[in-house]
Amino acid sequence: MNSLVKLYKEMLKLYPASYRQKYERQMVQTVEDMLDEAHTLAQKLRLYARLCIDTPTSISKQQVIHLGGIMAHKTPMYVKRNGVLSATLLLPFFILVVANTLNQVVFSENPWKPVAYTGIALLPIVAFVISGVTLVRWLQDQNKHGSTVWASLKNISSGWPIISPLLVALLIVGFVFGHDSVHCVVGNPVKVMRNASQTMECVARG
Amino acid sequence: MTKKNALLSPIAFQIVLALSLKPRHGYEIMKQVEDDSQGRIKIGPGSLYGTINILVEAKLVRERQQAEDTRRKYYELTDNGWNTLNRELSHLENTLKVGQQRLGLDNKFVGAPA
Repeated sequence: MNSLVKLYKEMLKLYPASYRQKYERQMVQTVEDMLDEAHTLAQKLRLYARLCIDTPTSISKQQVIHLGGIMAHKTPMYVKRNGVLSATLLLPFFILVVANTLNQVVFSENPWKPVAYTGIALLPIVAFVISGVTLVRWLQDQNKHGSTVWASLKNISSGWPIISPLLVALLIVGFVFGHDSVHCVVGNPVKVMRNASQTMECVARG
Repeated sequence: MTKKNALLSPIAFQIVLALSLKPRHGYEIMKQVEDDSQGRIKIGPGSLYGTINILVEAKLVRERQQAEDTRRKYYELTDNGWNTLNRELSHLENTLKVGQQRLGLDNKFVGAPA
């Protein structure tokens, strides 16, 4: 078997299983037909170039369609709703980080400090609680249908709308209320707000 | 695309057009699309089967086995596919008429023929 066909077969494994089952054989056959008619080096190079562009694009498209289909039909409404809500609550954190980088908003005094505290500290906690409770409820629902907790967590394709905001919220809360060791590296926002001068010294020391 | 009167994407239209002559397998469709579009549309197997999948789900195209070639699946238009092709062609015809009228009536903007 031609090495291009072998490589192409390997790449086809990246398609969703249901799609692969329907079209894998025909896609390989089509590539073999294309190769049969590519006699010169230039024709073969054109064929490689076409496959290099077409295959990754098509794989991404099919994966998005696949995930969208799972989300539309298999993910419960409360998971989708609370996932969107949690992600929305996390947005102010990123907006404030960007705003602070641009204009030192968080360093300044009132009226920004209460807004900064809410966006940086309070909302991520709320998002963490909402997504955590939703994840527990979803895992219980999965358990009722005979799926173990570990199997459900591994089934990322239907749980990602709630698992991803939970992980992001966990990271933010970890950074904000976390340890001093990351303070100098990432600039712990709460500590930065509390004592800007010490932070600047710390950054200056490297 | 499954909605009534919705237009086909350019690739989907070319595939439906390619199947209007006879049932074809994947590579034949690719070659026909390239010929019909004078080389302007070149599709790879990924885009081809992705679009065929959409057309099959929309019931515009169906699979067909050919006794003389069991290695390949052939595709043909359904009645719904034929209706859609006719609708698309009449839409294109109308668009062409509008374009020609506009060129004739308002040629100062597009440049008059010498």
